[in-house]
Amino acid sequence: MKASWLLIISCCWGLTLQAQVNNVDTLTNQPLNSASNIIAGNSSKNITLGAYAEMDYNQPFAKDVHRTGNLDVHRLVLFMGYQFSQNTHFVTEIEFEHIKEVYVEQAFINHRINNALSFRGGLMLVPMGIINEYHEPTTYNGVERPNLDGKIIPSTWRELGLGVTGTLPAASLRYQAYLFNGFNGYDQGVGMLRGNDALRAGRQKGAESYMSSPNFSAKIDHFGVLGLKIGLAGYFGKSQSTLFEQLDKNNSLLRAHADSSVVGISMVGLDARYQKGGFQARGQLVNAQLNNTDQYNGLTGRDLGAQLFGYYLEVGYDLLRPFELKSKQRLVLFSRYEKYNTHKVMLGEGMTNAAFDRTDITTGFSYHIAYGAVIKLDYQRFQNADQNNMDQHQINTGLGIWF
Amino acid sequence: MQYYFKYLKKVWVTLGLSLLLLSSWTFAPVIWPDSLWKKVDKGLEKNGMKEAVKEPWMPNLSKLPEGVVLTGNETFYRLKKGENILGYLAISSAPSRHNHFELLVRYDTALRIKQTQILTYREDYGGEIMSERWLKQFMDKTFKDPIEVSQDIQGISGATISVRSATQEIHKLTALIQGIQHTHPNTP
Repeated sequence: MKASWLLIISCCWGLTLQAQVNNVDTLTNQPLNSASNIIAGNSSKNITLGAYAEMDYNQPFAKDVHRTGNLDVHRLVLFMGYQFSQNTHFVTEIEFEHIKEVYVEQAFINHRINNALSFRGGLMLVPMGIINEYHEPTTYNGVERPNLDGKIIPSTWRELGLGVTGTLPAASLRYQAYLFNGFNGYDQGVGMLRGNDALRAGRQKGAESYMSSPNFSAKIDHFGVLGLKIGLAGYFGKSQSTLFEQLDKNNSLLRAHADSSVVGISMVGLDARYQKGGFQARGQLVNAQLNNTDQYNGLTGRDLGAQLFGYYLEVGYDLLRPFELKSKQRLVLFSRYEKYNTHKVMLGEGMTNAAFDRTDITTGFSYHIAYGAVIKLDYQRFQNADQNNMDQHQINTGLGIWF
Repeated sequence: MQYYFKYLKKVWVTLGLSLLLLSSWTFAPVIWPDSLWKKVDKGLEKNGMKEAVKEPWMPNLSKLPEGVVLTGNETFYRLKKGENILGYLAISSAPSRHNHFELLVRYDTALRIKQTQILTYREDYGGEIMSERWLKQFMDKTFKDPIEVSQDIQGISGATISVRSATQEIHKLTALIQGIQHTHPNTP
């Protein structure tokens, strides 16, 4: 493994070197720094800027008690791309979540060989489902993202890694295959994975992340039928554990201890999007099998499920479609039915928690006032299978932009 | 499981080596390089136009159709076999999310679209526009036909920007080639 890391580092160095070669003043042959490069106007023509943002107002309501509303600049994401050469570019997204939390959501170099093959490395989105890769607010209905893409697919799910991607136009296929750093499952005596949202709290997001074993992720999209896009994704590997740091290779007891802090993850996701005329539909089905959760729960006191399963189906229609407006405004009436269970199966002594078997219904409008700007309004009902649990109701309204 | 990791190691090493080799690779951009012409010829051959000779051509740009903005990348050719005119060819470049792509549109003598092809596409996202099924939607359209995404041309989920860009470019080229008839009344 050491040898491969050396190779990766050396080729990253190679890429940096190539980038540096461009940053030399052609007249004086002096190297330029970032500031002088901007002043010289060298960089601007290769830079792409963009952003997306969503500002939300959520108002839960209940029969017997008052509920306060929640107003939030939920996400403001600044996008920047830089093109080093025809086939090499860098993409980054810097995200401000709730104004004050700053994340780097993506930061990768893409080097294209041809349509069928590009190499890519850095902080990248894990291809699983629809929302994790396509989460700009104008591309989906509803103020909030589907909950399945939060509780089971931990959107926005990104990790450091490298891999290949390409499009095969003749077969109408696009593929992606990566090796990623895995979830932080066990950190300094604390188990990070749990029943309510399974893997979500284990995301390392490229921030001083550590790795005890790499994970494999791949997706194939088919777009051969007009208006229809179908995706099949897989994610296979193990959660990471700090117990492997300084672990004596000859001590089988410690080895067994460390092994019990790790769960195996096999997640498979199927998604489809369809549009024809003013009609649109999308759906998603995700199943994840987690092994060793009995030992993991025993060690950490957590309640991590052994199977996560969920799906949703959404249909919508553009009410302005029949008028064929010149302004291209769209008013989409939609409804989404979601069912997801993070405790489909429990291993060992753990009992399944019915509160984690959830059904959400979202219905409302997306009013696209111009290409890239949307006003959303919807009603949500959250139910779960627990007898004692009352349904939750909520009205959301929000503004979304993307350019 | 042991075997699985051995396999993973192989993948890492292969990827690392490939990236190392590629990092020293440079690319010199030229307008319509040979590699692009090869794709043009291949595309024409596939559509029964193997024998067509491409003759540089210029539509009448003094009377630009309303709303058309030139980028300077638009090039036009007349396809001939002997003295017979087989049709016209437009090659141009259009932006994708953070790069650009080249495309070809072939017209018959009545200036109906007979072939659309994405010649090069440099990004991962949006590459769905290379789909032949999607490009077929432009078949037989002329400047008089409305070419609007979602109204006349079906979009592709996840490729919105490239779909809009390609559609606009094809629409523009079709508008521009209309000028050929004005300049050259002797053409059929």
